[in-house]
Amino acid sequence: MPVTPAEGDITFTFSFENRVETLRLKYDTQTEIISPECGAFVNYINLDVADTSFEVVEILNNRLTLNAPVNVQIRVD
Amino acid sequence: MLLLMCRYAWISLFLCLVSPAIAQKNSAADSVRGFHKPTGIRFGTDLISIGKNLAKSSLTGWEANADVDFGRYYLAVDYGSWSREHTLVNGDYKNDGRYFRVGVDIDFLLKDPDKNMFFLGFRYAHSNFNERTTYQHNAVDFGDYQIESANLGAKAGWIELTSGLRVKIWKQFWMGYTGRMKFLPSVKNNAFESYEIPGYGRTFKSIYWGFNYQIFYRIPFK
Repeated sequence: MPVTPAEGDITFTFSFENRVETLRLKYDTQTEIISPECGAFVNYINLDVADTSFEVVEILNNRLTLNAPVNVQIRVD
Repeated sequence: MLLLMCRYAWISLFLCLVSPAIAQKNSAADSVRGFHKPTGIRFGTDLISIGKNLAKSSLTGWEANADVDFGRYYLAVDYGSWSREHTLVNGDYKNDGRYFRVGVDIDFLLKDPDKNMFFLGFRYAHSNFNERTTYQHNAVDFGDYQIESANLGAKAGWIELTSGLRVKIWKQFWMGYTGRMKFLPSVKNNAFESYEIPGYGRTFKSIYWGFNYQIFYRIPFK
């Protein structure tokens, strides 16, 4: 999921079947240092729905990782 | 496994603390084993820290030590400063802080007239420190960012089991070493996960070994 460490939220706009829906997700960032060789990186944690026009949005995993299977599930009727 | 090692370490310490008390009951006449009025205070410093400063190591600091004898039991207090820099593959990291340890050493050379000692003991240690890091981060679809993050006013505590020697070298001077097993670190931080605790070491290591080579000056009480 594309997110930026410069902001604490991001808005996605979905256009499909003559509909336009939006989903705004909020998150926190946390620095973690593994080792001098691996360096420092940003953890995106506490992922949550800030605002949405979808009827059902479910957070399955609130920590963004490169190998996380699914973070957000949206149901469209 | 780690839990088991900690448990054995605590049991050993408990036996060390309890067995002298049992022995004391069994031989009340043996006055060297009990508590006594203090006869002097020793002030010391860690020579390894001084050596690291002179060698311009990435770790700089100092440590002061003091102990007071209550018979075979010594109240020991350590106070130190620690500052370290690491160059990361994508930035840098710095920490600086002060730490103290307080605990008891039990001397096993009971009748040594020179107050030489071989001891086992324990410490509770606490560190107040700051950490800062600056690094480059590539966010997918958003490009590169330079991120600065700081843990200001972080606090940490841990436990130590200690063992060592003190040997009188000349008049009021003693030299010796202290080996320490540091464990059970707990840290309270804010902006990022602490990387290194001054006085302890890397946060993610649940057991650390430490070593001090020390020189002491003893001031006798009259």
